[in-house]
Amino acid sequence: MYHNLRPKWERNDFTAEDLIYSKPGKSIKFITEEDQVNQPILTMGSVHTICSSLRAWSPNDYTNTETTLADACTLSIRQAISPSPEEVSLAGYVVTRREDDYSYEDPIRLDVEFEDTAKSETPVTQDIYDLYKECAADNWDGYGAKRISVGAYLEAMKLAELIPSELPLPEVSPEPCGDIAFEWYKGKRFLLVLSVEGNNTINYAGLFGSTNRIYGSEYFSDELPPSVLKMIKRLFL
Amino acid sequence: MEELVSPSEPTARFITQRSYYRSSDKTVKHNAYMPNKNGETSIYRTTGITDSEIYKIGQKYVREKIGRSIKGHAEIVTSEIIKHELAVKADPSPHPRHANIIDWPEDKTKQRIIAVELADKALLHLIPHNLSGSSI
Repeated sequence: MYHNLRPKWERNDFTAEDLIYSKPGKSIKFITEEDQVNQPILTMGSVHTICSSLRAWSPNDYTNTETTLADACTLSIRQAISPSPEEVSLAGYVVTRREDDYSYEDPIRLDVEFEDTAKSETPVTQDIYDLYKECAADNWDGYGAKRISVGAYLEAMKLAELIPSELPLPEVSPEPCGDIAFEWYKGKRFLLVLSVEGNNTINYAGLFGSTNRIYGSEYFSDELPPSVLKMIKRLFL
Repeated sequence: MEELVSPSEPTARFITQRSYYRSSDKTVKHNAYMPNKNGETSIYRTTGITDSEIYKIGQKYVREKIGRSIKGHAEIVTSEIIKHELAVKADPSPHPRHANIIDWPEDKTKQRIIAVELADKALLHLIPHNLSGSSI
């Protein structure tokens, strides 16, 4: 599986010269006109991290996230725009530390195209990709549902990757509020729903028998919260 | 003044998405009942009419609106809805039997657990394959 990421630099002094094909985890290289040096700036992992850590994705939303690209280069993301399910535009500044140790901030715009990024390794991630494409526009259910955001999509992909393989696979589905739900269903009144919307939160709702029900939220960053794992296990183990 | 629907009245929520039910055991999923961005869940009052007549309403007033066939409907009695401190209010447009589930809490986590409870109580009626694409 190959991922096609195509960085495009808006300013003339930052021109990407290559279309990059890289496997997850491999560096993406680009060449600046200034120094003509191949610089590893983003990896699939870091793109994913950037996207996952952004809080909002609509064109008017403002975010401020920094990630270290290499020892001498920092990308500060100010805004993220998702014109389509396959594209994300990241606008911000590249901070470059030159040989004389002065730092320069150059405004950039990085268009990242996600091509086949979700031809995924598990049926769950494939399902997430499919529902994301199906629900990319408002009113996908005919009842006025909100579209699934890029943030929700990326967070759902992250959650899918963190579910221990020994657990039963959940069924994923879109929610009218624009969230993506993971459902573990054992039978009538025995089920757990986890939902993500791209704000570093897992919302949960579950029924555990005729009288027991739970609901609430947990902070979600790079690990599956232990309490959430316990809920899933409670259903099956 | 809009009328509150009687607790004893059965209601139908038309299923417009394959993802709104489980095909494994033909049960309704919670997302079928979650409110839209206006805080409403659109339903139809079904007292005294048959499944076939319910389908006709769905095909006429839901299918035409969304531009694709409906899969069926989820049935639940109004008393099961209002026990969660929701209200069911008649909204006779586009059809005299149309109503909305309203008064959803603003907190989405509360909405979700209520929707889970409603779906658990609901009974799924899928449209037979030979009728699903027709206008009946």
